[in-house]
Amino acid sequence: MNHGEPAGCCAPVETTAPISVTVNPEARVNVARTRARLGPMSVGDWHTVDVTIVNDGYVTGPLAIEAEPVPGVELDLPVHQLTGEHRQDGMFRVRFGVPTAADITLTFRALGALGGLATHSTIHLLLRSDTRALA
Amino acid sequence: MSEPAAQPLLASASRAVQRLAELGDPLPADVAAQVSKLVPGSSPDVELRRELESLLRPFVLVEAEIDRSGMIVCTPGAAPPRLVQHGWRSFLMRVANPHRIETTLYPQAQGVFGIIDQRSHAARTALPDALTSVPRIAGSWLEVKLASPGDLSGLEAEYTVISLYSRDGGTRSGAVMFAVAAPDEPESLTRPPERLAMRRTMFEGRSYAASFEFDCRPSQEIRFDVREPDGSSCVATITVCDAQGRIYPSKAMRLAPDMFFHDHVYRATGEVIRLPEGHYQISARRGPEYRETRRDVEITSGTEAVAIALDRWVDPARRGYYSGDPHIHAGGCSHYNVPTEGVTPETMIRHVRGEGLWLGSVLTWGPCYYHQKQFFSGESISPPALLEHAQMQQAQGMTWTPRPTDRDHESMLRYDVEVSGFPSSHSGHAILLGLTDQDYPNITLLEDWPSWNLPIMRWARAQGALVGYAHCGLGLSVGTDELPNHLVPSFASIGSNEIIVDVPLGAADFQCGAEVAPAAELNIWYHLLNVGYRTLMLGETDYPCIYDEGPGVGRTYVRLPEAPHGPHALETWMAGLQNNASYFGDGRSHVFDLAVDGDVVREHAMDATGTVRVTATVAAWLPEQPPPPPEPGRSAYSAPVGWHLERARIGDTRDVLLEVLVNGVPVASREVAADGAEHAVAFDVPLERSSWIAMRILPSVHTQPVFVEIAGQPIRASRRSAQWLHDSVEALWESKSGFIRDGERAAAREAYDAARAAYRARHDECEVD
Repeated sequence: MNHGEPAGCCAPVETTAPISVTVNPEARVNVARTRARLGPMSVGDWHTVDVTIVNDGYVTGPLAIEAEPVPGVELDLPVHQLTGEHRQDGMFRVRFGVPTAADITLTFRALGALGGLATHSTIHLLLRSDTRALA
Repeated sequence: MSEPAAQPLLASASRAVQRLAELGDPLPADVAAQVSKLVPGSSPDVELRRELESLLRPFVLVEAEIDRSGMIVCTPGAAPPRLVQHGWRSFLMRVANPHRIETTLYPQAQGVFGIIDQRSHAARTALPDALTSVPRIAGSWLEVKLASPGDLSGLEAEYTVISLYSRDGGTRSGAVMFAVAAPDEPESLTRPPERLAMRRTMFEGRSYAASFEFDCRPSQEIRFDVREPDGSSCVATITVCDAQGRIYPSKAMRLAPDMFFHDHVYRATGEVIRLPEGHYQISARRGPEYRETRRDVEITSGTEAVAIALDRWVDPARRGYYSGDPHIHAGGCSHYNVPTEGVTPETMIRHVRGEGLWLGSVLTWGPCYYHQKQFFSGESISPPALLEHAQMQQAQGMTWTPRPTDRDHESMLRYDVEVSGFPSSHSGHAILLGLTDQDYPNITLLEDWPSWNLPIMRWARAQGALVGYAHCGLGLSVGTDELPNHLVPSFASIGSNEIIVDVPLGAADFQCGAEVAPAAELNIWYHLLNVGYRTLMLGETDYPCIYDEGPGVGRTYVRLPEAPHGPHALETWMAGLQNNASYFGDGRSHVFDLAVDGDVVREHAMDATGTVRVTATVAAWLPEQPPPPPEPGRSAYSAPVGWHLERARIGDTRDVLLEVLVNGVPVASREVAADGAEHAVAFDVPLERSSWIAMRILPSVHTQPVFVEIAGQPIRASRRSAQWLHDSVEALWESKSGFIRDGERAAAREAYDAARAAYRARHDECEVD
């Protein structure tokens, strides 16, 4: 699945990470899925989801990730420090308490307050733990 | 087969319900409230799924299911298929995805846009394998688009929102079909994902579409009462937009004279647009001499007409300046070529009138050449703005009657030729204005025209035509904004390349620009002027190739004793261009009556060096505040790179910088308020030698020069300019001679050498570097 051409600002990001984040010169954030797939995750373990950050604006400061809580899913959303480098590796972690599928909404914010390009700083992501129990 | 977990299914449904509300088609409040009360974990998943689907099922228009091979079968859902003519209705679509395929959805129906083809650049466009396109146009009444992101997450079921636009009223049969991108298919440069996806549906006999008998509530004809400030009728650009930013009529449902590459349509006083009931923002304009007027309008069942009062801020014609655009097209580029091989003069005149232009030169060129050349007559024309191809119009439901206006006679077309898509195009695209014969002697095929431009220029000039080069700056950028600069360009593209050979041989009159970076466009012109040539420069649009917005985005104003009219209107205008005051640019700023010592003539003589008084009247208009930053994906100006007065704004003020040039170098300047008022300006300018003088506000307006010869000496103002021209001729030869036919190359070399010799001579005649 190629979500790599978000409307409005940014070219697709070449990456093996399933999520790309582009920061434009005004520190506005665009987040997109890439072609990389997210496989099922085992219950009870922390799983790392890689995020490739492309910083087109030499922006420095915090890049926060926010999410609404979803029952049965723990999210570890570290605040990344944008160094101003053009490309940085980021991540967050997921742990399922039960076998299920979850739609999580992630919002990325640079510099604490500024929003994204329209709604492009937010992504809806389907995550699955081992769901054989639901079959 | 697994069932979707309740949490992601509810999340998808909630987003779809919210989207329907945003689009103005909300679910009933009680249904939306009940959906919002379904909370994951509050009941077993199976009960939540059942309740959610029971609530939403009545509003699902299309049930879709993706099979193991990624093919999507659509069937009608329970929602009543009720649409509205010339309006949008939005519905839920439920996508069952039992194999958890992560992919992207693409709708099929693209309206009339799917019938027409704007991609061909062929001189003879291939006829489609149908005798007539009329039935296909009649059948392309439905447009379907996804109103939510088309990405499928891989959940076993999810909801999305689709929007449908109906061109027609009444009961109509129609089908809704989607395709999905093959998840792991490599990207194709020649077939975009949606075409690859749709192609896969061609290989099976089964039907993938959901068929409906749509009930389309008729819309109503709204008459537009467009008025000039003096109350006279005219043609103007009308843009109709709803709260969601959707444009009416839908851009995919347009047939000439309404173009799918415009937001606006052109309508004369009393003409109509069909609109359903609703709230709209309606804006109107008639080219850059007008401020855009905006009205919020509620269309109800009783609405018959909308009054539009145009807001003109400047009227150059009242000062004797008449606008022209020397470069517009009726076929090729953004115009559709199939099935009609471009558009007719009746459409082109509507567009020219709607931009408030006095003259538009419709240039026949490579695409659709053999069809479009039938409209050449050797005369200026001002036809009625009739609807072309009556049967196609009828199939499209365009049954309104075009109306004449009080201002129709003010706009004229002249069909001529742009040598583009011809064998000599590598040498620059020659514009031939005022031809009496459009066919090169003893040649019937475009491919047999000369492979360099000089013979063509001489042939055209022998007819009395004015000849020059289009989009002069293309390929001439050297990475600096300095003007003049002395870097020799690569001549890698289709700018005014061969002009540097043709001008010293007396075979080229002008170049056209006001499109790209001023340094790329003006440098070659300044150097030619600096060594004494009288080359002209014009503003052009190259509509719809460089600018799509309309004719006259780049334009040229010429001072004439009276309005150009009749069959020889263009010749009158061209004579004024050569001899009278004129300027070119984006029409947002104007420099009237550039005079040296009070005399508005182009050739000025002085007995001795000294100071001259340079005067003019300048008018420019900008909004008081700079525009807000553009919305994502939209440009703030008429062109992302181009001539636009907004780019001349000094900081956050309303002022712009007016410069006085002597031999291409700014010698004086002042800030001018772009408040729409006329400002008299005066400068004392010392002249040390014979010179040319001009005024400019970059990138918006530039005057033709006034030539001042002192003590009878010709202008020889820059040795370095002569050297640049000399060296550029050789660079041009290196770049282009390989494209000249063997049989013509010796003559071309001879001409290039003659041009170099001319520049060497002028180099030696110059007094200063």
